[in-house]
Amino acid sequence: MRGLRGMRVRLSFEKGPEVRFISHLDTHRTFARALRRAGLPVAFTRGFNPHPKIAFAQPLAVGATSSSDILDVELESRIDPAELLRRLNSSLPGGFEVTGAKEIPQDAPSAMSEVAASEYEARAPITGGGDPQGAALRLLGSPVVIVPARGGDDRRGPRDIRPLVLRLSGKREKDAAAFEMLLRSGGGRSVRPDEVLLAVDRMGDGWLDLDAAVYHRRRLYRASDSGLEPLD
Amino acid sequence: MAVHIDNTIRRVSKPARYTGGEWNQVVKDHNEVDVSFAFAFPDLYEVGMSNLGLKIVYHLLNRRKDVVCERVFAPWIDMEALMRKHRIPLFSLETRKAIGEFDVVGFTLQYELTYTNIVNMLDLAGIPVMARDRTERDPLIVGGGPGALNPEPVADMFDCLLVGDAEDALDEMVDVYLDWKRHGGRRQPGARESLLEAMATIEGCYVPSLYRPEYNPDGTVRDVRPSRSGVPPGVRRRIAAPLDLADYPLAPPVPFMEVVHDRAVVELFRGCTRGCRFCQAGMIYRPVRERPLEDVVRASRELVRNTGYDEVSLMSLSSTDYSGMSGAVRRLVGELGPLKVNLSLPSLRVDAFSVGIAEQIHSVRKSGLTFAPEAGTQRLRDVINKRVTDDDILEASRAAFEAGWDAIKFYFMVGLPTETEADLVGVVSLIGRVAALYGRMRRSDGRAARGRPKLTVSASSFVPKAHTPFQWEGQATTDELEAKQAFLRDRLRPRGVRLDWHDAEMSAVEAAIARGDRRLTAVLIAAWKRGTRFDSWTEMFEWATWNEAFRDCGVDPSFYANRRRPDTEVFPWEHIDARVSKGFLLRERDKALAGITTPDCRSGVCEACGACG
Repeated sequence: MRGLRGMRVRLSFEKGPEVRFISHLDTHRTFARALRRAGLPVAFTRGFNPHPKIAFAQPLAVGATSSSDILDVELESRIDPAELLRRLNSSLPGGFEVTGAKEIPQDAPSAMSEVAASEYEARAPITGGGDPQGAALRLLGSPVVIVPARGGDDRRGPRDIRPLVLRLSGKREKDAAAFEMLLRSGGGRSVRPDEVLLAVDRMGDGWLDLDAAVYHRRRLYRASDSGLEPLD
Repeated sequence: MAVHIDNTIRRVSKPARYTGGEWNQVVKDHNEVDVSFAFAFPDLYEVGMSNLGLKIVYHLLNRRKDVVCERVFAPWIDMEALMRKHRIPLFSLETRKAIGEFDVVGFTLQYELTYTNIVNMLDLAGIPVMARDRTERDPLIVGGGPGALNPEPVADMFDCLLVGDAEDALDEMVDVYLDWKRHGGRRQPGARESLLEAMATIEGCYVPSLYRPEYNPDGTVRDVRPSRSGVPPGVRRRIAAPLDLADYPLAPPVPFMEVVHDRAVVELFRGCTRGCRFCQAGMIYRPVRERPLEDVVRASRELVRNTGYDEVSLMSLSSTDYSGMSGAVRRLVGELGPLKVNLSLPSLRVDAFSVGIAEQIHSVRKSGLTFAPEAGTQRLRDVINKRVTDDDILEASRAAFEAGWDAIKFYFMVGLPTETEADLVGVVSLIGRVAALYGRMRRSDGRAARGRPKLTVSASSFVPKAHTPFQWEGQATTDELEAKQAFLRDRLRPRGVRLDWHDAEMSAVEAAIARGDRRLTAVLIAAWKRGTRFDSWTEMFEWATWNEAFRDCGVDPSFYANRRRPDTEVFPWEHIDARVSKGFLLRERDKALAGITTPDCRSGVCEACGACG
């Protein structure tokens, strides 16, 4: 269906605390259904089991919130992106909100293939004594930072995440440690914020309550000539 | 007060089971309504959210301005453990309100093996399990669904139970409750009695505490009779007729997570005219009430618009029996196809016509077809009144193969009354003929002659149920059932046919409860105390624990499950009038044993079962 009549739209959306336990697969289903409820002219794949042509830039872990995730939607006919945003928002369950919609060229690379880095906030209660910024600096100063395999389907084994941590800072907020991090993601070489927090925890000998940690994704980035630029 | 769960829930599997917030969920300010109702489904979210009854009740209650209905499901064991550890009471999805703070808690009785979950949910809510231990400060505990047709095994746990359709009766029950609450009922010690007496005047509403069972020396029931004057001697099942689309849920909550039946559901009709003698649903939902085609089309259209589902399922006990089915399917396919919405049919009759309908619908996917011959020989099919011939089965299979399906699943039952080894041999030879048919067709197509169809036989165990012609019959013992399963397995597997079977021990517990009396409540509670939950889940079911629970209570399960009951015996459910007469059921039982079939009501021949009268 790609052609003169259709169009591609890149949406940025928030995933709020109400829906933080909704998995990536469920989020996909939620958007597919919301698009249908909104009566938007979504393009479908051909074949025996057509499904809507929507593609997310990057899955978000269950439990995390996000202020700017990315979704590409392919449409069969043209529509004002502002109109699409309005109609989709009125069909989305509370907790999901589309904050931006802009047309992208038909031949633009997919958001998924473009993602190069993700920016996160992570917060965890401090159980013992510890200095968040000190731990962050220690991690950045280490030539090698090994995290264990996660078990389950993670077949990678222990690996060095140090090259994947692009920025990291920490500060104390009452009884919690708050970190900001910019992490390499996409292209098969990526690190997750909980892995970084685990490494930070080990810098200080288990001083964080990792079970109670919360994660928020601020933004996704693509590579640019000057380094990184926001994907949305 | 909302229950705080965020820090607990992150550690459980599928936390979305407990967080609500779905599209179309209804959230109301509890200060703005007069009655709060918690609809409690005693199984997992993904099972409960697939249930049409839940959606109907949610709609019937929430359309009223003076009522709020919220949902709660049984927490899986990981969640239960955390709730108990952190002292989190059972809470509703919509507002996370503690279930003990609702005015009314309504459980649906879908399946006997969910009953220990009811005990568990009451306990997690901090509500006394036995009705007699509850006071005006506790919620009123009500029940409904097919299990209410023999409510006795759970009778002592419920304040009242609705027998039959909810469409009209639920409003009447709410009105009675409202009136009582407005007169200060929830603040007056002892006022519960007057509420229950008022409830008992509603047709279909059974108040167990107003009835007392008496037993004969041999342990059988002498009678269940009102314990005081003014209480009706029995309870008549409510029948909603005609089915009004205004009562139908056209905007049900749309789950985030994948549920068992993840699609829009349109009920084509309620009831079934086929009269299969083992089938409780075929008896207790009589008479057939079809929805007009215009309603079906409108419902499909609105459901798709309101939910965004990509599939509409036409539900009923035997959907291809719907009047004018071909035309209806054509119209719906025409209507939904352009929206990229599929149509599906859950229950296919065994004949070529049905395959034709399925072909029209599943033009896109050839995943698999399901037929339910139930028994392997004509003799036994006549006994159970499944009026399907070998030719029907072969013709339906031929039509399916011709249309491109190469996977067919056949549902059979083992342990049916009068069954002998010859009937099991019949299953094997019938499936063999289907496989041979496939081979012949492949050869005539010029394709490889060695191809095998993917045939599956699902063998469930016969469980005699109340209000059916087989309610007097005994269930085969677990040893016998397992021997029958092994007989089929040994003969089907070498032919490349896959055999699925139901755990015979689960069927035995189901059978004991299904035709049990009030003495079963103690067993349910004893089993729960010993740790049983989610007994319908194979990985959770513990036969040894159930046997201990039966022993704890001095109850012999075979007395209920395996014993053939004489015609003169009084059933524990004798006071529940399912609107299908005992005389009819006895006639059907006698015809069954004589191998005589009874025609479909749609044929015009009336057997005077009593449902239409």
